Amino acid sequence: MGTFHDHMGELHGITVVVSQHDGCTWIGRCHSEDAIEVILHDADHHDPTQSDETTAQWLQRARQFGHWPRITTIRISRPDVSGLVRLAEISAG
Amino acid sequence: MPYSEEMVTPMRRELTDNGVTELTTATAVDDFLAPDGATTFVIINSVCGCAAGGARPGALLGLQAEHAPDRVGTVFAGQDTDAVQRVRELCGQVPPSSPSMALFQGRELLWFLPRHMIEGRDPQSIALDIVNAFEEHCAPSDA
Repeated sequence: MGTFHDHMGELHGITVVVSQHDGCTWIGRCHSEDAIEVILHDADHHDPTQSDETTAQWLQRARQFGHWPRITTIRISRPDVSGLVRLAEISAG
Repeated sequence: MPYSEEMVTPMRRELTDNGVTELTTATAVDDFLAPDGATTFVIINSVCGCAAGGARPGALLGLQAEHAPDRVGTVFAGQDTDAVQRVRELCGQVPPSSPSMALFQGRELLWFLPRHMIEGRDPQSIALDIVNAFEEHCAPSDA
């Protein structure tokens, strides 16, 4: 399915889940991703040490209904990233 | 800042030319989703080319289902902000996203298709999700 921005990567405009090595997780609309960083718009963040929900519970809720766009733009350093997948590809619990 | 109406009009008409009622104010939304128990499908339209390009034809394809809702309306995100806000209020704890789609009975949300389940999918796949929701919620019960 094409976008208005064919010069951008295939994840441009797609809602993705970015997992970090420290256990934290981001969900947001991918602007771009390369060897340096992942840039998300309209993102939300989950820190399992600060939340009553497990990461799996938080992801399942987001998969079913979407995520809250709490942060306008976030740049995540690529070395911190352990995983990057489409939210739609998270399996139903 | 809203897009120019010149740019948005074809995206509105893709739905309204196919029988979808456009709702541009909160009052219009409230009137359309009157609490009479009828089922209402609302398409939250969007300019976004990454997702809305598949959303509109997918919705129209889904509306050809055997068991369709009683009413079909649309609001346009980023353009008709009061109407969109009212639909989002009726969606309760569902985070805002656009394009997206919602099925109501009266003013009770029955089903919601968020943006991330529309992005990058072809219209046929989106329509299948919609048809399944209509089968579950709009088909007459056997009882």
